[in-house]
Amino acid sequence: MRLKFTLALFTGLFVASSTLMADDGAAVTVLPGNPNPNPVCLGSPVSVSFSGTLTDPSNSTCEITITNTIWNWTASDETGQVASNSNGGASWTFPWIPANCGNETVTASATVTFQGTNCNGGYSTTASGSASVAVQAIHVVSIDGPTAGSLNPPPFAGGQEWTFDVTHSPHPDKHVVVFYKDCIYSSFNIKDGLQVKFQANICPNITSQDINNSEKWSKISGSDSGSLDGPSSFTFMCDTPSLGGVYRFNFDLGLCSDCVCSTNGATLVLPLAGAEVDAIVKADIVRADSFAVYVNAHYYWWQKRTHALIWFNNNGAGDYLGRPDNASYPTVWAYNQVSSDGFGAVATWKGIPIKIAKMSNFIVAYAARKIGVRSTEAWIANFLIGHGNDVSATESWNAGWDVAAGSSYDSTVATMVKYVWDKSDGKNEKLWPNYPPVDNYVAPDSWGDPDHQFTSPGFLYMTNP
Amino acid sequence: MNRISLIVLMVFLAGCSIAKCQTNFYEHVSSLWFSGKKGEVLQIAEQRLGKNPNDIAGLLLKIEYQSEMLQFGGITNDMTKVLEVSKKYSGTNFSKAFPLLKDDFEILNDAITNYPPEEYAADLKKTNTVGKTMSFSPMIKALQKDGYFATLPDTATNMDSKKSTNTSK
Repeated sequence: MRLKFTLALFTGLFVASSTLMADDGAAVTVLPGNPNPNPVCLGSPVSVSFSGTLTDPSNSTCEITITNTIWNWTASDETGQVASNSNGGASWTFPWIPANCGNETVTASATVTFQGTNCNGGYSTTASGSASVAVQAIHVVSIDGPTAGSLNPPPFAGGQEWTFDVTHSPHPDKHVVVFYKDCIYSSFNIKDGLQVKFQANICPNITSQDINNSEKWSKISGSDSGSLDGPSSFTFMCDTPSLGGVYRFNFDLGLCSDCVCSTNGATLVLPLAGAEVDAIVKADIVRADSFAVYVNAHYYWWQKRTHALIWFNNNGAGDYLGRPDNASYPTVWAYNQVSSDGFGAVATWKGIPIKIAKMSNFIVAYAARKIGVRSTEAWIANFLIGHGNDVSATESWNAGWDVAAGSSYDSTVATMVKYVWDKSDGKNEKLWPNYPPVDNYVAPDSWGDPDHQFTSPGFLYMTNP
Repeated sequence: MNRISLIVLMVFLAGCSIAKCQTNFYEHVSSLWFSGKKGEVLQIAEQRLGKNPNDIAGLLLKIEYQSEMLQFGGITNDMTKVLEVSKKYSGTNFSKAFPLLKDDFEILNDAITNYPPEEYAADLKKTNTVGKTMSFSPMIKALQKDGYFATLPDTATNMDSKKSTNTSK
């Protein structure tokens, strides 16, 4: 009698038993595996199923029951073990992810433990089988360009689109990244000749001649800046991209529309900072003027100091909070993280990526001078606690102080943001300018979602400070 | 009139219900101050101090009023007293606000000793201004969070006094 491992015919047939020895004739046969899909895309999971059959001794009165089955499987770069009970199934699926091009052989062996009734014993026996899988895939890597620093770098394994969701953070989708700081001169102009090179590797090796030069690179989405150089070869260059954003490309071997692994995606990210805040700051200056008029009419000179923490510090009253953004030109969260209480985001201010803490320093300094505070030094000590009293903090404070005294907002801020750009913690230097205006701005009272909302310091909205 | 009745009457005369004084003391005095009823705030302060000269809230409100009216005589002594009695009160929120209180007193001391004449003349015209918040509102708010006003003024005083082994009533 031949028993497939899945069968559950053996339970409760006999009570009395005698010992069955493996060499009494019980045997296991493992049938060849069945890979799916086959061929498989490099880097993608493949299931390989095997089936096993237990043959009992020729003694017709002997009945055997499987009590346990252990499957061991081996591929060139991976091994594994799967256990099953007596009714565990005739086939097992191994989630193997091939890492090498070419033909792979997976070998599996089954060790079956069984019990016999009316037989001569209860023992185990083993057998093995193998399955062959052809690994044929496109494998895209970025092989040149200023692309170090990706939080989830290539290669892009075959047969996939490789989408990129800007909100996935802190673990973004797979991408090549190019930081702003690596692409600009000190003048903030984009460097000449910036190129990011992508290479499609084919497994097993295929040359352009083999497929009649029908392979093709194309851009699926992304800004219009830059160009594709050599899109009709296995290698292509993204030439001189000058605008931030997410660029998605596709490589098509040109074999057929539904061939396994005949197309593959790749994503190039020039991470955008938060959107442009200039209009918001200008509106806030008007609000700060109203604030100052009220304070000057109501409070004594020294009371402006005793009230300082209430106006400018408590509960974020002196801080821009949240992540400034534009739905059509979204910032990349993984590179523009914001804390749960709303701090740390990078905005674009006068065309330059700047941490929003600098905006806070600016507007508080502006308001401080407008309400007649006499010494900047004492106020800097008071209000920059927690923001890091570095050069960028001081300069942004001074800019607000100067604008309050009559300096041109446009020229003062334009000069300041360029000066402090490389004098902070470096986070803003990675992000590309995002020129469209912020479209997720809310008033402080309505703010509560730091990831999706951006707001001004609360003191600007105090009806009666 | 028994002791409780007297307290109830005094509280009522001060313009707030017992419930308000117990649970919304901060909101009540802030509202009075903001609407320009600063004299009523002084009354509340004096009533509390009448029960206990060491009442922190009473002292703070008195200093708030005196400084608002630019009446600086005796204010230094009151500030010293607040700092003394505050050391004996261990409310969590008030303890956090205490450094700010010391800063505010330093600012006030500077103002008293170096008040520029032109500023004084300008500020004198603002003494009856409505629509202001109190300088010491964070401390009053902290006291409320600590449950300082959960008992009636004199019992709050007793509680405070019991916290210190060196303080006699």
